[in-house]
Amino acid sequence: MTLTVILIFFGLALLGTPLAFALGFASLGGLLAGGIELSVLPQRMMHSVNSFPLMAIPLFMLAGELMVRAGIMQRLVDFSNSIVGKLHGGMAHVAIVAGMMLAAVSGAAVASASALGSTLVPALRQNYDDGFSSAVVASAANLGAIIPPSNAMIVYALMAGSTVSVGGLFMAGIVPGILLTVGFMALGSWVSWRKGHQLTGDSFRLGHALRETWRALPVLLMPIVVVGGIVGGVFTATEGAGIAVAYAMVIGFFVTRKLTVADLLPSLFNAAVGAAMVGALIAFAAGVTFLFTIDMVPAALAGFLENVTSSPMIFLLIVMVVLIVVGMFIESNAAYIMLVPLFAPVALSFGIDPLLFGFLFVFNLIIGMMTPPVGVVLFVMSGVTRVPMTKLIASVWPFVALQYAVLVLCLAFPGIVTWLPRTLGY
Amino acid sequence: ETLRIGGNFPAEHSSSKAIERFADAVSGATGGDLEIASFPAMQLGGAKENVDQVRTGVIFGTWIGTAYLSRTVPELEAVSLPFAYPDRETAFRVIDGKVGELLAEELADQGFVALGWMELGSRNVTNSTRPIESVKDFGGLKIRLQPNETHLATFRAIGASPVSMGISEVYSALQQGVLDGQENPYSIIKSRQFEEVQTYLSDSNHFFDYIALVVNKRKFERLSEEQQAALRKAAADAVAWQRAQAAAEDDAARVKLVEAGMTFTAIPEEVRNDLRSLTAPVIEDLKSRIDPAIIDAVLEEVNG
Amino acid sequence: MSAQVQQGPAQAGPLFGRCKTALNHIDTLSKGAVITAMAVMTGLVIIQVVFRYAFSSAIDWSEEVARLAFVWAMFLAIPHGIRHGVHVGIDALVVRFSERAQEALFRLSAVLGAVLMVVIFRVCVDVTLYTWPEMMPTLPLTNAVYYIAVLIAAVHSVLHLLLLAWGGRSTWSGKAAQ
Ligand code: NA
Ligand code: NA
Repeated sequence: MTLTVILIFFGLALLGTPLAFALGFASLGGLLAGGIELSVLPQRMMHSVNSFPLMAIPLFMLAGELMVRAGIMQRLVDFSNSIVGKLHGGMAHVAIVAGMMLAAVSGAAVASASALGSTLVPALRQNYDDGFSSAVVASAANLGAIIPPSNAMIVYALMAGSTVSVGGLFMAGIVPGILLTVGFMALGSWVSWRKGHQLTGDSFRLGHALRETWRALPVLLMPIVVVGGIVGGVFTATEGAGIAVAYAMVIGFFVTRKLTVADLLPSLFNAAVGAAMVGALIAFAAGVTFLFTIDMVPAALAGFLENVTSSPMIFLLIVMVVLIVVGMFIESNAAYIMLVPLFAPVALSFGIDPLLFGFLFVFNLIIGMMTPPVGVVLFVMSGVTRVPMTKLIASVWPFVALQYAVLVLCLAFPGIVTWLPRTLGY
Repeated sequence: ETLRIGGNFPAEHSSSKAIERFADAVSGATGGDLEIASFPAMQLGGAKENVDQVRTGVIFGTWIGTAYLSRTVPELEAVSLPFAYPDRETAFRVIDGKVGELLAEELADQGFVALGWMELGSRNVTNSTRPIESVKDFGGLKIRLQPNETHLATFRAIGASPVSMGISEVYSALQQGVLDGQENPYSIIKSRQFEEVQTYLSDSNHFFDYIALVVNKRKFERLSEEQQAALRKAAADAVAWQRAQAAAEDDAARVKLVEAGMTFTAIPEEVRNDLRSLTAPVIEDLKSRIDPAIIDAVLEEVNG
Repeated sequence: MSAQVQQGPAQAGPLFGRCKTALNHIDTLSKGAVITAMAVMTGLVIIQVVFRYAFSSAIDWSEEVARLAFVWAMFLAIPHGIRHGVHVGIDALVVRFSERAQEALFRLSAVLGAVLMVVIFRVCVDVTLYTWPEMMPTLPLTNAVYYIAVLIAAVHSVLHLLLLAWGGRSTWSGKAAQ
């Protein structure tokens, strides 16, 4: 059964069949090979999507859609420009800081990539080459899935069962997210200085900065309300996503006054179609997970890994290397759905902190969104900016390397990941 | 032949361990002709999905809280009447007697064979507002309940404000004061660590919950007579073991909750009588939704 | 992203054009349903929080209906995703093939997708009938309505996949796309 599933999946995937359908066909083949009632297919599809926590995904996507249409992005850019505009690589810093702030209210790197790409790349291109401009924005967008809220973490927590909480994972992402932001800014400055780019952006003037802060204040408060509410237990992640939607609508209608009722319909539709991509993967992968479970694959994998090593650190390194390869080729949501149920229980049996493991798992696959050949953030950037993939890849690698460096840092000093959530009682 | 059984209880729960014993006994009795593969802890999907899976024959069986089956066989609500059973012995006398036979027939009509009834437990209210000593102490308490009409109606009838919420959100809702209380068997209160966020513990014993071991009728009837007998025998032994185990765990959990600092208040018998009469209309209302004969049979068994 | 296209208009024929038009109408209907389901879901999630804090009470059925709306929105949106090519695939190997081979693979993949959806539809009919007597815990409504979303999604997806198999990668290029 398992072998049938794996062969069909990889065969179809390599021929370019959408991964969701490749997973569906693989389950179908496995069920026929195992003589199991096909009813399991629609049952798993429906029940795997029928989950309150998953509802956060379209809601956070909707919040992102509304924020772009409400002109909130522009305020974040203006604010960032007033603070960090005059550093080396000024506009790059603006992009990164705006990306970090957008990350704190939006759940998805892909949504961030299209929002940042369409608003910032034109300004960046006036000063920098296409590749660098897009690479900076792609990096800033990738923060979207590391700094809470994060749809990736929601999917991970769901797949890992009750061993990790979404709130705990969210908190785990904050310190590494800040490290990455600072790292991206330093790298941006250095590249910009090496290439001899002009100093750009506004000089820092206190009055101007205060004025822009005031204008951006409603947006700056949003993460405190949304993420603070989720982490403080005032509402669940899903309800927090609902609050983010309500908040974006209030700002759009009454503060920036750029949102119209006519914007709501396409926003709802786009959020649904975007989330359905994740939903389809979850639905079709659920059949594969079922087959692996009844074939006892997780137990076999655990047994195999325990034979290979008894050291948690070596196990962790093996998983990280596997995920780097997986991240190159497989869309991250498909990877969580297929691999978390396999690896998370094994990590637990090795005595690895489930929060640390969960974060490293998510972080690794998020970096994978920027690695060729399959890198969704790269696809979106290239689509939005029309910068060819080859040029993008050539410019993006230092930023990818920096992210892997932070990943290694987290492995060496797990406190970076676990200190904040543990302090908050997760 | 391998028969797959899935459940949503954690692997260390007494019911999951009972299924392991069941599996060993079946394999022993049939000389390995039948092997039971058990998948606890939602490995094959949640409780609702397990019901669908058994019904369509995707898996052979499931062990499951009866609440999830009562959506298909509403007559099951008759064995969870409010304040009906003074103790677990009565609860088991009901399910092992004529009522159990009636329910088995209803389940058979929907394609299930009931192999046995284990204990999920007697449900008791905790809260952080006041000890429950009289009926009016329930007044206005925001108590989390399972989404079930009879449960919600019962708590409305005694003056509480029921809130239905997924169990995973309950801890933080109690901590935040969004909820005043919740209700569960002692062992679940302990395993969910609600004692950390709740002060008062009662023995309200307002509902008794069973865990049903049900299997797909078509697949069961395809087995030989001997195999069917072996399954029934193994199930009966496993169920008996689980009931003893669950009773011991329930008592131990209550002791641990008190040791952890909860204030335990026993509900006096006259208050229990008041609660019973206040919730009588809920039972009448249920009689309009399901076969009244089965409700009468339950009440008869309890009083007789 | 494999369905995003740069080529000229589809190799038209009057019948193909009529099919496209018909499917456009179905899409419009379905789009309305997706938007409605999303709006219901979003509204209920927000109202749930408001009720809990402002009135310290809850609507018994709100979670159930929100989830139902969510399931409907997700499944009904899947065929739209097929049309817009958002269902991701690995094209690292495929892009090395000739244009003709790529086109053939694209159509083959659409046919396979359609076969998968037909199987799902057929099996889901049984599951829906089996589930029919099962009621929702808080509403007098059958649990089978969840599966009806899967049925509709399967049929709608088959239509889109067959059209893609017919028209190839350029099916939706031109003004009808996006
Ligand atoms: Na984020
Ligand atoms: Na990649």
